[in-house]
Formats: sequence, structure tokens, C-alpha cells
Amino acid sequence: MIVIDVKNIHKTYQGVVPVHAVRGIDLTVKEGEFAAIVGPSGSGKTTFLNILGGLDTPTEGDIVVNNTNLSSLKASQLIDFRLHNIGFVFQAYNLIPVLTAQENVEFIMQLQGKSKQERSKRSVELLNAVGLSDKLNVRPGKLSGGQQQRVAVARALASKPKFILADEPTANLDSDSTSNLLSIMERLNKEENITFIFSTHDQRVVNKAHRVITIDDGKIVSDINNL
Amino acid sequence: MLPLISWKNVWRNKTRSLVVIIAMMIGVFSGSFIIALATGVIDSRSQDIISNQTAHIQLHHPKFSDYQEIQYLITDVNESVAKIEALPQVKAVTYKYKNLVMSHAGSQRGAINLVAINPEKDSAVFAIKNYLKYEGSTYFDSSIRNPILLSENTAFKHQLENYLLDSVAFFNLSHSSIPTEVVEKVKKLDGESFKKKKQFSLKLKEILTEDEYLVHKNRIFKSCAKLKIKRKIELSTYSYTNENIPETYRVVGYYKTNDAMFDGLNAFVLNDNFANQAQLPANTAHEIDIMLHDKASLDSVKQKLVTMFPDLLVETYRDVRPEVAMSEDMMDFYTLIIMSIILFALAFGIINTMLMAVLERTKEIGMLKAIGMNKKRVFFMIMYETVYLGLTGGVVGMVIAYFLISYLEVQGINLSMFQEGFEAMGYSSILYPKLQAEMFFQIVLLVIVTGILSAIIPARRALRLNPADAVRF
Ligand SMILES: Nc1ncnc2c1ncn2[C@@H]1O[C@H](COP(=O)(O)OP(=O)(O)OP(=O)(O)O)[C@@H](O)[C@H]1O
Ligand SMILES: [Mg+2]
Repeated sequence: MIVIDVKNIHKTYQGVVPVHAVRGIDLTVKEGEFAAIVGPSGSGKTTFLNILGGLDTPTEGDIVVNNTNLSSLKASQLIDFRLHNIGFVFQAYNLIPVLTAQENVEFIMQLQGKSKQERSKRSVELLNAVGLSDKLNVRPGKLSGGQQQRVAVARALASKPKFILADEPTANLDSDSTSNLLSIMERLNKEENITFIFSTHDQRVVNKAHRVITIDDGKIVSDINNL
Repeated sequence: MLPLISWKNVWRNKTRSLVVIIAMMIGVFSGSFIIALATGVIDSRSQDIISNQTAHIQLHHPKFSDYQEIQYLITDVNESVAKIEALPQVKAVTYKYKNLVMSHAGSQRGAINLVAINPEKDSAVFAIKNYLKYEGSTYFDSSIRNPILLSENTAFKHQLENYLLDSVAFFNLSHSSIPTEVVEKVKKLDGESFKKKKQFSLKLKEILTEDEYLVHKNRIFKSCAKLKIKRKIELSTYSYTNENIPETYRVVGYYKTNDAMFDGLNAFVLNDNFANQAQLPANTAHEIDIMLHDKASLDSVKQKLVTMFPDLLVETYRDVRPEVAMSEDMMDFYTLIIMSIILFALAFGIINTMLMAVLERTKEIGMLKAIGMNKKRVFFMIMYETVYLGLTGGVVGMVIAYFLISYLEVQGINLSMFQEGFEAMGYSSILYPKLQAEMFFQIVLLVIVTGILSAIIPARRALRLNPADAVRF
């Protein structure tokens, strides 16, 4: 089943000097993929991921996610679409600092209007799955960077999204935390068939990906199966 | 969920939030307190005027108020008073003659507004009885012929006092600001007494240097003065038939209210005595005074009296003393102005703090929008936080003000340090701050409105954040 289908995506940042950050990308992603997007700094990875996630709009081209054309949605519908269909893991600032790990995971389900029982059951399960069953009531400030990113993955999964977008999720982590996070993501992908699309600069992370998409100067220059 | 997150967010920067909360607390507290003080002053002033001077409602011959001529009388007074007393809202009714008379005592002359009353009825309406001073003073409770109740003020003006250098006088002297060497010199006169101020001052000039005399004489006079009853004062009035008729009255008591101006003018005699002197027809009066059970029925009773007595002029204390009505009415307006100014200033502090908080949290708010928090929720999250920031201090300030004012409403604040100044203006020297429920709610409402209005700018600022920019690193 195809979850992402984009054709001829262009993005130009208007400014004194317009920046043509994405210059015609076609891409299809199927359910259960574990794909890395790589490329030099400034090649347009973040721009492209933001467009895939409905955080930014392309200047040209259509994004069809789960059979919905994002350009047909109004701003408020787009927010709701993100809430129910896409999980996000950012490089940092993923969590609400005044809430505990569990409350952070529950928060997104609360936005979705899930019941109290479902929220607490699922948040415990997910934090278990990312190996944080002993940190349920700890606030982000008292967690390590790696633990925080694991909470972020749990939070991203909590809304039962169609896929998870992660822009450089390991950029702020040391190598142990990086491999730990990666193995959790791999396991979730293998056991639960969760679709992950992540960008990275880290070769070890790239090596774990099943599919490696290389972008340069706003275009896909290679797309290899890495299984 | 959002209210709780917002509340926790308030405490992310404890110092900064506390500063705003405390500023708000102090602002709201002092605003409420100042308003309560002003209300207390104005209220006790109207209360004094009502209970000492005007009562709630007065009736006059329509021309009396303009000319105060003795012939503008209300007739059938007893019947009218009985009819008014029958109204359920009415607590007490009295009637009186009022006339400007010339006074004469010894070599002193003056003018007095003579109020001729029926003591039994008058004391049910007015409180003069509670202001008697000096030993022997009574409220017409004596067999003296033609008794008169004078103010301390008027008595001194007519030099009715004598001077006695007894232990009380020396106690007063040594507790005044007069230097001890002067007091020592005056002590040479121990035991002496003087009928006339002139004799005493001649004696003082002998024993004191000229400078000492000039600087301290007034305080020495005041310390040694004694007012005794039964002193004579002659009052002459134009009668009903326009003849000038003198009559001698004897002092039955001295009074002193909080209002020096009122004291300087008014003296009280018996209704019958004055009617005799001025040859006034029976069953008449110049004024009927009505005290109500509750000020709230002022206007309705006035309307009723207007229909009951079409030939008389019916006025409330607010009509008779427009300056009192004005200060009563202005108070509501002042509340609004004072609180608005304070809250306007505080709103800037709140807005500034919240804008800082929003800017600091650009990434976090961007993240929340990215993962699916809609505009309404983002707006309310910031809104709640701002309102909490404003309300916490505001509510605490109101609560402190409420308890302090409730306490002082009973205890009073003694300002006797400044007593003379206050009383000269007709204000009591003990202040009873007062916060009416109405004003209290007005202030609470203003605080809430301020909280909400100051929330709008930071909340809109948060809405403007673009999640795609906010989550970039
Ligand atoms: N908001 C913006 N306005 C203008 N230009 C932008 C904006 N965001 C990105 N760019 C430009 O678009 C191009 C692509 O940037 P992007 O952030 O997508 O690259 P990236 O591959 O994610 O880089 P990195 O690996 O450093 O994160 C760059 O030249 C960048 O300067
Ligand atoms: Mg990037």
C-alpha cells in the first residue's frame, strides 16, 4: 500500500535572492518502509521533509498522502490531518518541558480526543516499547538526550500515524544513544510495520536504512534498496 | 489539559512570573485600598451631614430655602408630622424653626443660625446630643429658663469662657508644645482664676516676655479655658410682625461636632421659647426633617411626599447639599479611573512578560503546531497562561484588601495627628475605609478584563509562528 506519492515537487523560497531549494522530486513510499534521506547540507532535505509532513507547501507539484491530496486541504484541515496521519520526531524541542514523559505521550492522544483509559494504557505500552518503563513520571529536563528522543518516538507513534517523519533525529545524540534509538526504530518497523522516513548525516544511521534516497541540489540523485 | 499546562507554564520562570504576580497584587491591593479610603471618607462625611445637619429628607415652605425669611412657615405641622411618621420607611421625624439672629454677650457680638427644636423629637433624628462637651453640659435636661445649646466655637467667639489655673490647666500646658520655662513662669499664677480673657492676658503679659506672650498665648488660653453652663447670651430676632425683639438665653450645654463650619454657625434653643420670642403662630415650623430606615428608599419616599404635600418643597439631602451628592456620585467614576490607570500600567508588564515567554518558546510552540495542535488550542494555551499571570496577583491583592478593609471598617484609622485640618474641612478624624460589594465586583471585573485583554497580543503572536520555520535548526 502506497502511503506517500509525490510528483514533480518544487519549492522556491521567495526573498531578495529566491532560493530554489527543491527542484522537481518524484517519490513513492510504501507502507512499512524504513527509508533514509541523505545529502549534503543545504541540499533540501529538511525542505522536502517539511513538505511531505504538510508543514510547508510546495510552490509546484502535488503531495498525496494516504490518498489525500494535501494541497486540497485548508490550513485548519491540514493541522488536523497531521494530527491523525503523521508522526513527527524533530532534532530537538520535541517535548513539552512541564509535562512528564507519560503526559507528553498522552498529550497528542488528548488532542485527538482519546479516552483517559486508552491514553494511559497506550502511553505505558509505548514507553515500555522504547525502554522507558521506569521514566513514566520524569520530566524531559531530567532525561538524557537519547531518552528524550525515545519519548519523542513514543509520542509520534501514539497517534497511530500512517508514517513517521524524522528530520535528523540523532543529530544531537552520542553514538550509543544513536544506535539505541535506531534499534528501537528498526524493531518497531519490523514488528509493527511502522513506516519511517528520516534524514541524517550519520553514515552508521544510513547503513541501517532499507532504502537510501540521496538528494543533491534539490533533486533526487540516487534511490537505492539497501536490504 | 490546556488549563493545567498553562498553569505549569506560568511557573517555568518563577522569578519573572512572581515579579508580575506581585506587581499585580500590590497594584490591585493599593488601588482597592485607596478607593476604600476615599469611599470611607466620603461616606462618613455624608453620614455625618445626614445625622447632624440635613436628615434624609426635608420639607420647607417653597420660598424659605431662597430667602430664609421668618414668615415662610409650614402650617399644620403636628398633623403633617403624624402623617409622615405613619409611613413605614420612615424612622423618625422632627420639625424646627430656623432663623438668623444677632448675638450679644458682654462686649462681643455676632450672628448665629438659631435652630429651635423639640428636643425629644429632634434627638430621634439628629445626633447633636452625642457631641456634648464640658462638665455640666446637658441636652436641655435642666430647669434653666430659655436654655441654649452652643458650640464650643461660638462660646469662645463670644468669650463666654473663664480661665482657671488648676491642675487640669497645668496638665494641658505641660502636654502642649510650650517650652518648660514658659510653663514654669505661668505656674506662678497657680490657683488664680480670671473671669475675662482680657484680665488673663494682661496678667500673662506681666509675667512673660513679649515674644513668649505672642508666640504662646493662644495655646495658653486654650489650656486654661473653662466653659461653664448658665452663661448668658442675648439673641435678637425680627419677629413675625417684623419687630426686632431681644431675648436672653442661658447656656445649657456646649457641643462640638466634626464639622467646624457647622459649629461656627449653629446654636440650638427650644421651639416654644423661640416661638414666643418671635411671636410665631402655633403649630408651625420652618422645616420638617425626616430620617429613613434605609437610604435606599430615598427617592421613592421623596416621590410620595411630593404628592402628599403639593404645597411644600420636598428635598433630599442630595438636593440640599449638592456637593455631597456630587462627591457620592463621583466615587463610582473615580473607582473606574483609579483602577483603570493602575491596571493599564500593569497590563504592559503582563503583555511584555508573556511576549517574552512566547518568543522563548518559539520552537516548542512550533513543535506543538507541527504535531497537530490547532490554532484555537494554541491561542487558549497562551490566553490561559496570561490570565493566570494577571489573575493570581489580582485575586491575592483583592483578598488581602478585602480582609484589611473589613478589619479597618470596624477599627477605623486614627488620623488625629492631622485632626484639626480634617475637622476644619468637616471630615471626621477617624477614617473607616469602606468597600461596597458593588465596587468590589467592579474591580474584580476590571482585573479579569485586564487579564483577558493583555492575553490577546501574546496569544496572537503565538498564532503567527510558522511551524515549518519554528522546527528548523
Ligand atoms: N525559510 C527559508 N528561506 C529561504 N531559504 C531557505 C529557507 N529554509 C531553507 N532555505 C534554503 O533552502 C536550501 C535547502 O535547505 P534545507 O534546510 O532544506 O537543507 P538541508 O538539506 O536540510 O540542510 P542540512 O543538512 O544542513 O539540514 C538551503 O540553501 C537553505 O539555505
Ligand atoms: Mg536539514
